[in-house]
Amino acid sequence: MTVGNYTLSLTMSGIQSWKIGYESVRECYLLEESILVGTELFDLIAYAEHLVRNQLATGAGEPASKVADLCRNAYSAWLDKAKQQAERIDALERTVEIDGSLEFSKRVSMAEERIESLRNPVVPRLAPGMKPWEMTEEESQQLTDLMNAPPDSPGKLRKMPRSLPQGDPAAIRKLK
Amino acid sequence: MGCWNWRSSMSARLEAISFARDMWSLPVVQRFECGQELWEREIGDWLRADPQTNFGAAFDVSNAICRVWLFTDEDALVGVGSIGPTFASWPKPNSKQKFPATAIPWLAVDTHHQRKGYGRQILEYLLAEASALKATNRFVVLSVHVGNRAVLDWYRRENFVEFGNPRIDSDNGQTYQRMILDLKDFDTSSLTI
Repeated sequence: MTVGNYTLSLTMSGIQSWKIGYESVRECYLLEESILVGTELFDLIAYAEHLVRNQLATGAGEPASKVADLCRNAYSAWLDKAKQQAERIDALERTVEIDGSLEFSKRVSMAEERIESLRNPVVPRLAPGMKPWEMTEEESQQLTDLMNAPPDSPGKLRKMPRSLPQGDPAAIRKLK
Repeated sequence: MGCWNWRSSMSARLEAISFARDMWSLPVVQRFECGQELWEREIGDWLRADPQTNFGAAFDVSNAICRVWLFTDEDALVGVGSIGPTFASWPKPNSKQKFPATAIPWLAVDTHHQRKGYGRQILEYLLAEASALKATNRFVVLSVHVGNRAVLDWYRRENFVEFGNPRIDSDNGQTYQRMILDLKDFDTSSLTI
């Protein structure tokens, strides 16, 4: 019996360790899926922020004072969930390796940095000649006439413009 | 926009140097002056401006708003020029459709180098750069202060035409005349190299 009990005890222990191992692996897979989605979601938020800022910088979008707040809210909501996952990653990585955890933890740091440094985008003061404008009927007609005018008419390029050689940027830094 | 005087004479061939963000603080850039009229001071202010503000050549190149070049003749900074994208709603006012064009927002020759034909070289360089984009941006547009009669006349001689009526700029309250040039119909097929 003693021997049998001993054997039984070993078997139970084996089952227990197999079960724990199975659950760890399952949790690991689920976590890997989850952090992959999280990483992609972060990249999507960062890309959306980039697009909005780019539009404003080129004058194609209206200035929006809420841009920083909207981005901060998006990054914060993401970070709340991401930190929960980061704790699970830390716990699991004592025993198993989790694919994508390094990329994910980079995104967590980036989100923290972005939340800290977010400012409303600076709206550029464009030169008068660069500002987008709404074309009037008169301008529209003038443009059509210009398009249909024969070569050499006023408003048409008359000769091939001549380019210039490229100078050395280092040279201008040396100029007194 | 532009400021220089021209009295066409034989001038040395300039070199174009792409303007980098940190060049705004170079002594030679900080000394750049093209005159005391409002539209002349504005160009100098733009070139010399610290990129921490929302206005200036350094700010514009770091935010990809426009491309900027400095033009040199041997050991001197002679002028500055830039091109960038702009658009209008077209063909009807308030249309969602955009009419893209290449703008020449800034062009100037330093006061010490005016009346030597450098302005024309810079303009030609900018038009050559704009021509590379003409498949999508067929027209070049620019705005000249209505008080800057000499430069308005100069652009007319370069075959630009006035486009629409003068407009008041929302930032500085000054009135500018938009001018336009069609790049498309110049036929390069007959040229031999």
